Amino acid sequence: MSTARFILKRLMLIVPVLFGVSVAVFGLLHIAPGGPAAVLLGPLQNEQIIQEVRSQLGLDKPFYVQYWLWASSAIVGDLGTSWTVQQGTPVVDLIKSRLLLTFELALLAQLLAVLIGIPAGIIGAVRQNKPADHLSRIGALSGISIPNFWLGIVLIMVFGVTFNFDWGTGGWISPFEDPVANLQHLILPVIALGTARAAIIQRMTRSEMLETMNQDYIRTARAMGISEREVILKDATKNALIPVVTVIGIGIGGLLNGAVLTETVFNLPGLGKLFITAIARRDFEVIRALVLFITCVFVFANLSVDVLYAYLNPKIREDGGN
Amino acid sequence: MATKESTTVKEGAQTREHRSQFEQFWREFRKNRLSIVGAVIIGLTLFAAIFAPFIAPHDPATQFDAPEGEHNPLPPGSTLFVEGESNEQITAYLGTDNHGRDLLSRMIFGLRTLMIISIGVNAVAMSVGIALGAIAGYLGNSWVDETIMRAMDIILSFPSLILAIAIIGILGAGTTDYGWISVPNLAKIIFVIGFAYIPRFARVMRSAVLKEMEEDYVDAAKSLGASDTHILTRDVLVNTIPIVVVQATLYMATAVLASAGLSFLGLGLQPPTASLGLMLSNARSFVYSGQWWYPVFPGLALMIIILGFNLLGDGLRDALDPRYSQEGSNDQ
Amino acid sequence: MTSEPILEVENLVTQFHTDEGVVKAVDGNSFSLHKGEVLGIVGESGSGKSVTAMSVMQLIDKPGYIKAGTVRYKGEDLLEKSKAEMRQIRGNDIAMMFQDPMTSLNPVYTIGSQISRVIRKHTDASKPEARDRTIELLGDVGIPEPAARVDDYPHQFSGGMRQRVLLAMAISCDPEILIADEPTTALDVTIEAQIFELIDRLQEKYGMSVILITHDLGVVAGSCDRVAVVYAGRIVERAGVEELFESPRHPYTRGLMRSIPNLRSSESRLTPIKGQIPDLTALPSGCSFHPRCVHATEECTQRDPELRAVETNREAACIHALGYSNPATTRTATDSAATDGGVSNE
Repeated sequence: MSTARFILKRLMLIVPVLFGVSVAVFGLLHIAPGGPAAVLLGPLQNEQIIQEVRSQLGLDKPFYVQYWLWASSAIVGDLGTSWTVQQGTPVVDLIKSRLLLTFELALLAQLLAVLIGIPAGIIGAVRQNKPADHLSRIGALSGISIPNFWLGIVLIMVFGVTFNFDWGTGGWISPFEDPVANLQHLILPVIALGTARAAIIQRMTRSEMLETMNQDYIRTARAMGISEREVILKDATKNALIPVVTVIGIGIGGLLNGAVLTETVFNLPGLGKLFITAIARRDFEVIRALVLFITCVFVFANLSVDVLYAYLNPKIREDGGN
Repeated sequence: MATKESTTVKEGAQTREHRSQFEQFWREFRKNRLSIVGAVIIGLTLFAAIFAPFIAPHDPATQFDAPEGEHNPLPPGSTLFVEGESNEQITAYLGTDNHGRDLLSRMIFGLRTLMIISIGVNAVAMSVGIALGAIAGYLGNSWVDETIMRAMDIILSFPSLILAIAIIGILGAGTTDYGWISVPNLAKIIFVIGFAYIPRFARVMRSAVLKEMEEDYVDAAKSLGASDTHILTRDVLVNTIPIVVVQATLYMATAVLASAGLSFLGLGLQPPTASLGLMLSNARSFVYSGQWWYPVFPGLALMIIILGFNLLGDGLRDALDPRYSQEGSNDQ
Repeated sequence: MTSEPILEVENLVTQFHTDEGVVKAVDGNSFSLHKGEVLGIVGESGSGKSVTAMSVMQLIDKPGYIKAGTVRYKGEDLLEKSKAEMRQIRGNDIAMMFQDPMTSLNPVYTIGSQISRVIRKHTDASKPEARDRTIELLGDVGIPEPAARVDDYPHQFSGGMRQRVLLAMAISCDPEILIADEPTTALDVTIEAQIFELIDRLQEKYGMSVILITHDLGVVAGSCDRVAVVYAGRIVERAGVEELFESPRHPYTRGLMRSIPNLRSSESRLTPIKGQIPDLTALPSGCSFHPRCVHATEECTQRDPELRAVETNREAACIHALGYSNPATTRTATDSAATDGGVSNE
């Protein structure tokens, strides 16, 4: 029941944030000189055409009316229709058709990052200043320093060009069509996107583990004859991983950022690619909808991580986080 | 920060205190060889960026001719001819790009733009973030604090690169002309990326100021009749310098990544400017034809610079030990 | 105290490698503990008393290590035991409770699960059996409504209650020896008394031997049978508790006694020992206490005194332990503390 109270509290905090986000996203459209219509039309324009387009797109109404129309339909899941990417197609459909790819890519990258980052961090901490630790730290330092788009290019060079694997050059196959080929084609993008996340998780896990291993309760467990293995895997890990959960949550933002670049490098028709296409074609309706959608995903992902954090941490779970 | 009490003592003692503080920092810092490596990398990068015209072997914009029967991009160590003067030859140590321009020279000039952008991004994020964070912290738990921090929450709700991409995408690449003011592309990139990182500095600064405000010396200064602004600028800000330095260094890595990422997507610097991100973007199409040097060298340079900032930032954090700083991270 | 000693520590040396050099945190100490006895180890913080206890448990972490000595438990040298054998002994034969109850319990597990896993580790109790035993133990240490609180987390208890929980954990497998390392330092005085009362009662109920590590001679006077006083890594005096309080033979012990408030004594003046505990990497020559000692003579700066018998059942490591024969020659004879020191107390 305390967890419920905590979730409720966090949900209440999200409402003003989402309102602010929606206002900001709406405002984004109007920061260009001359407004969106002028930018959309490019150099071939005159006052009359601009006015026509403005009224066509509803841009001649007062801001608050525009905002209300946009926000009230966005809330019921209508994000408008595409201007130029696929004229007349509801943006929601465009997003739906590309969501699976980006979701799969981000999920697998996160999974890879957790599966490598956490064990590597624990090993680094347990074997502090030994060869295994040095190896794990150097790996992590390289990992956070390597730009994911460059890593993607290098991976294509090695696997796609040198070894000539047919899945090594990007592209996407739907999992419903061929699940094996789907995963094969995602191997390199997932590595490119997940490496930096793994490195960040490794660093956080390592430093949290080192701190936890110095805690008095670890000494208590040892003094009671608990085996070192159990002390590390049970006593220390559970405490050390609670803050790591937060980093994994913040990392979702990094994954969304990185997905844009990774999808560009590997030619994956996901949300990131759609975003870039929309920008190239000045499809402001799609840009606006995507920014809102991605940001909402990020906000709710962070909320779920907070809830998970609260669930793992008895202090919040039992007392509602006061 | 063990010596923070000392800042309110007399001037002479203060400088002595500061010197020994610096010595202590230096002793700690050089203990870790990796920090030194980071400092050297960053030192060399800044040196190359500042003196690019003197260091670069060739002009970054000159398009050299390939020898008979060969095509650009040419591999490292190739000999090229200067147009119109068939007897003048040059060596491209790291090869050329697809326009026959010397890769090494372009990389060195690329460092220059990269450093300008990254330092600019940090300056924007830092100055605005510190000011907002300090005000929020100093007026802790008032409506001003609440308003500032909620605004920061909203900016933080956006994935930073997505926000930057969206803003530049809407404004369009290149110079943006509002009529009353014309914003050059470089300045626009700096402000857009910098804007996304304001909250990070504001948050760190706010918690640092809140913590400092609880220290005894602030009460002491107040009781001696020091004004609020005096306390905030002289005492509190001086004592939060270490944490800001650490944050700024770690965010340099983030800024480098973000600006290179934007250029890679074609939303940052525009051709023919020398930019590592743009070079990678162009190089992408040469991956399949085996011209490995074109994508490898600019990317390697990027990685080494980011590594340098991370190493330096880690070293500074360990040596300065600001308790409220976060683990270094980036937005990949 | 005529029975066979249950624990015999001989010439124990524990060192730490630091940047400044090798630190002998425990420097050739010997002591023994008999069945049913409460041994106090007293000293200032940094004197090596905790390290002594941790060495017995072999819980010394790097950069520390046990250099020499024997720790015989029931006749067997613990230092010869394998890690696995040692784990069997920890918690089961020798249990330990620590200084800070606020941080000594794992915050993410219930107190019940933390105690019952120790029981299950050392006995073949089933889960429900361990749980029942845990509840019984919690009742034993005075936790009200133990059945209701067994599933609570540490943060839901006060400091004193947490120390009781730790005590319950320590005695959960009916250990022969309980080592209590400053168990009440972090608690306030009223709770301190309750905890010691509890330790006394449990010691009798379970027939344990107890090593009580403390910096507080008042605690020693109340709870211990015998006392070892530690200074700069060495035992400087060893005696029965009554003899020690009657006539401390080492000037350090004497200084300690003068620096604590004594309710029974009419003497109202407290005299702290001047100076500080020396840097263990750069111990003074001769007797390491001589720079702080009001009776130090030329000889004390040169000769390092061994612990030697000065009476039946008492030992002291002081050149002048048998009497400060010539106060005029002591270097600090003018010091006010020196005038009421000496052997006149006897």
